[in-house]
Amino acid sequence: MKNIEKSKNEHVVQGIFIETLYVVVMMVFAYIVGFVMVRL
Amino acid sequence: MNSFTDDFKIINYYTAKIIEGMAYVMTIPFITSILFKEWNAAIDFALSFMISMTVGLILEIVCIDHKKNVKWLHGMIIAGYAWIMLMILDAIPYWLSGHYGSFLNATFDVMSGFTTTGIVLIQDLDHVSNGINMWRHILTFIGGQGMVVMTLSFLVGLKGAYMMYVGEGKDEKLLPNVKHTARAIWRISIIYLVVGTLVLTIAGIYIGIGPISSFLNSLWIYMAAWSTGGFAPHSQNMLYYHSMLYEIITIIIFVIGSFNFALHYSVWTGNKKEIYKNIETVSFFSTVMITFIIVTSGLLKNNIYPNAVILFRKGFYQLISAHTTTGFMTLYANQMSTDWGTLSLIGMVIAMLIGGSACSTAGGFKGMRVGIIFKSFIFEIKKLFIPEKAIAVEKYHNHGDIKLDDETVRKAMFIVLCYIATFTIGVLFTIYYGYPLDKAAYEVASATGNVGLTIGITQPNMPNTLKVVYILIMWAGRLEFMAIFAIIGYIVAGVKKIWQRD
Repeated sequence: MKNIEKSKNEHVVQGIFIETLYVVVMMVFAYIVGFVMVRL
Repeated sequence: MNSFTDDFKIINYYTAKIIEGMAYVMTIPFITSILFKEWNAAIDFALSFMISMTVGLILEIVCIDHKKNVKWLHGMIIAGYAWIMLMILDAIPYWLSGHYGSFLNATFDVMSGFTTTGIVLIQDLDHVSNGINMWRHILTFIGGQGMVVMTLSFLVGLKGAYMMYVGEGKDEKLLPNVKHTARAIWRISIIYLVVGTLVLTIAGIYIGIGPISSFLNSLWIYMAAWSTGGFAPHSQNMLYYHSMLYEIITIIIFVIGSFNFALHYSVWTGNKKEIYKNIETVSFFSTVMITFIIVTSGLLKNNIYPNAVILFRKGFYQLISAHTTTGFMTLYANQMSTDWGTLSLIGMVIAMLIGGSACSTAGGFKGMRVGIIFKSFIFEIKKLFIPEKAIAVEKYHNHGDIKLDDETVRKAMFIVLCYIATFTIGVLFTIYYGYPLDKAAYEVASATGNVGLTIGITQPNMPNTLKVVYILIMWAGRLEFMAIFAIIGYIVAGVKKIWQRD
């Protein structure tokens, strides 16, 4: 039972990390787009 | 078949429960006021609680013999009708606070909060009590998750709650039971509430805000960001903090807040690949980049942000705030109307209308519908190039591959058309009152998509008729029209019956 709970909590932490990563990638991509457009 | 009166009593019975549920929520700002020794605010909340409970109990007692499971029509009407009743009752603390020029202004801000829009008519925001600030942000936080479902699932445990869940503009079941679905939604939001508030509090202390003030600011900013609401405790909105760290953290919170709750649930239960396969995240990423390029082109043409960092903090921040329908600003409203230019404003209008994900706290057309319409558009072109006898099948990914059929496309098109019609009506009203087209389009897109960015039209001295129009637009946009059509149909049927009887 404890293992199931632990596994669930791990999924939640990983889920938060993955969702945050998606946004960070988007922000980096937007910064690069902005950087290139300013330079051009 | 229920009669018109029976239906009315069933609707009022459950609306009474929702009113009572929201009255209990008033204890949170009441306790906040007591803790900060804001006695006037505490009295305002105590009075408002008593008025709400009295209205709720009277309705419940009058309609007690109509405690039945609801049908589709009831569910839809309850969702729309309860929002109007709550708009009036929950505006009482606002009105008593003395920060509103009229009761209409107070109801405007309540609807803006419930619908997670964020345009406000409050006066002297920088001197509002902590109790009222807590109430403002709780309204938008609860509005984002869906207050009808919250109340009914937690207090009543009603079988027909799914109809109200759909009526509030959410249509994906995370779990087979709507009560468990509602609880899963709240679990996700509360976990992020703890994490988001903690991170923002640390960031606040790091940028020089005192610990208690930092905690309160963080809690309120989190609630507004997660619900894609856009309220802030300061009149300068996010510009008040002057911090890139704060801006980046809020972007992370409101983008995640604009995700579909079914996506959160899927990723949190181990299906990690869904984040980059899902039609909504793919559609969202694509439309954010396209609209950002449009906005940046306009900004660079006007040459106002000379480097990539400032462009990111001003251009991208407003754009992503618009696209997720949040409404946080790192600019003054008049800077947008004087500096940004028409091309950038058009990019922002498109982003505001597209909005976030379905079954989320966000507004707008929703990425799912944009993705489905785009896929069907590509599919139609593809069909031109394949042999006539070949059977063509198009699929999209939403927690598994789903065949794109005509009914799905038709439903998506219908809601998008409703948004466009509402937007057009709002723009016509705004132009009628003397505002220029580009500014009118910007402000109405903000209200229709439940965004909250303003170009300066929404002010306490704007015409009262326009305030009412914007209230109706925010309400219709948030409930995605079906609940409104149900109410209109119900009223028309009632009037017809009375007419025939005479």
